[in-house]
Amino acid sequence: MQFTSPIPFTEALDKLGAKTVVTSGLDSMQWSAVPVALRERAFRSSTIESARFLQRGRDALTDFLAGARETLPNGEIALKTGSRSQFIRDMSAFAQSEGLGPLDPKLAGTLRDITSERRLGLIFDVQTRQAKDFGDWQQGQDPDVLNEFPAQRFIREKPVKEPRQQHSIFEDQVALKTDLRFWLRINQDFGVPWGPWGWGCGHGVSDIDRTEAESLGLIQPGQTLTPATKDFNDQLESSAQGLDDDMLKVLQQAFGDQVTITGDAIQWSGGAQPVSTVPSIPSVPLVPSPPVRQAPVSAAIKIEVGGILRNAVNSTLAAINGVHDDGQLPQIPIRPSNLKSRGYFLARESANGLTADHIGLKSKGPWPELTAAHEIGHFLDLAGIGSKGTFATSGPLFQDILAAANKSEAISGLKKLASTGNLSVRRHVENYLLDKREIWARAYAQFVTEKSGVKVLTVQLEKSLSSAPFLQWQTDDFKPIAAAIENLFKQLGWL
Amino acid sequence: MMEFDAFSELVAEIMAQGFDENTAAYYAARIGDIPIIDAQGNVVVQDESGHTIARLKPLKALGLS
Repeated sequence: MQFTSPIPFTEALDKLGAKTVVTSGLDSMQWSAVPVALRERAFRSSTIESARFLQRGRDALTDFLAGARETLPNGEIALKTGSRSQFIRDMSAFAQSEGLGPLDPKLAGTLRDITSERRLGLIFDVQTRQAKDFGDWQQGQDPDVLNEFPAQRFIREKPVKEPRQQHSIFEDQVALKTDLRFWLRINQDFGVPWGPWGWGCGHGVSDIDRTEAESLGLIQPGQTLTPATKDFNDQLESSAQGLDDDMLKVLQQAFGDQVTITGDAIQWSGGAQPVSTVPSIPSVPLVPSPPVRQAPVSAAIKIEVGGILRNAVNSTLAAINGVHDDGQLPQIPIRPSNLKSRGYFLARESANGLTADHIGLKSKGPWPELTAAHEIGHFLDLAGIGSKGTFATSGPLFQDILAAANKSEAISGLKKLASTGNLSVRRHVENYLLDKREIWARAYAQFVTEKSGVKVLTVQLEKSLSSAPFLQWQTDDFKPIAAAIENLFKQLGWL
Repeated sequence: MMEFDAFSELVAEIMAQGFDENTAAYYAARIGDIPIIDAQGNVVVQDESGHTIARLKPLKALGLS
């Protein structure tokens, strides 16, 4: 959705006004690791280090939203920023005058060119949409509105080139406006319960009135809902606090004196504070809140890693918690590793067979979240499924999963690869990559990725597939394996 | 997950303990990213059925020496 006229309501204006102009050389991937508490309250653009440009941009957007007017030299009164095209034209000229164009001419006109229509259009669309949708959300939480229209439907508003699977599964679903868990699960890019629902997303919401919400069983006749603004704020406040030293150091290095650190908490220095009628918009967890589990996998993991790796492990555990329970696992630590392997799961020999010792994760691995899921898969194989003390993958419980895997194109591809390499390659493929335990761990990581829909895992799975085609499965190729895993987890009472 | 370069390093270290390449590569594959340690810190190698087929001295590639 593009806005072609001002959106003159207070909540939308306050939303933009509460943002602090923040400069940094971080790209979009690096920004995604910054706590949402900071991201959400920053007026920023990836890799842009010009405060003048960002300040000008924020002012222009505020003028647009407010319908601010100015007197021209000829005495006529005109809108300061009257349209999207004017914003793009003015900001492009300003960026060029500031020498902000790309150094590499090949990047001209692309999203990496801050003077380009594409990049500036994206800034305009996202910022205006965020302000407008926040205003809608805020007004929708008004007790009277909530009483009349307690729910909303997630709908497609416009077609996109590549619809996201994790959004498609929510399409046309209805949930209460106060169901933060549902809405945060959809909006993984921005981490807020209002739109836009992701970069380049074509979805929106439509109000559902009380009669329909009651007929859907979402609310009982006479029931009153409590606005979610306070709950959301409470959730948000906690995520900018309790950060470990490594994370604080990384953020301090990236933002310098633009941030103020007090103890284990962080905030923008001198930023505009939210006004009392608007919820402060610090942060939500980097991943959606998982459903409440009786025996979550996270309870069995003691995280002994810090910094970005700690965030990665937390993301993976939240994804796993969102997908399944684990029965009863012993507790083991996850530790940092400086070995060549991206990760490992160490077991110890004992009188009662093998026992789980710990998981090691390499901090500079290419896909730490996916690797964490993989190694947790090994942990479940030894300590969570079947008889304790042995790997369950060699027993009957895994028969269907491994049979489905053996019929897949990915496993066929690995088998062909094994027949073409030298001795070491053959052993690596035949006796390691095609080992039951290893097939299971890769399948488990993919199952968690696809079932949770967590973005960082999805991106890493795609990266893994493109760097080594047969290690993971294409989605269609994986379907029978996913179904077999689902059956096993149901048998185990984990789903 | 153990990539091929980490695997090769492990094979070389096992060969340095006196095993031929074929055996060392097989042991390395069985160890993979699921090393098993005994009470003395030796690396236990098990076959596909879970039977112990070798005990290797602590391996640097696994961070054990």
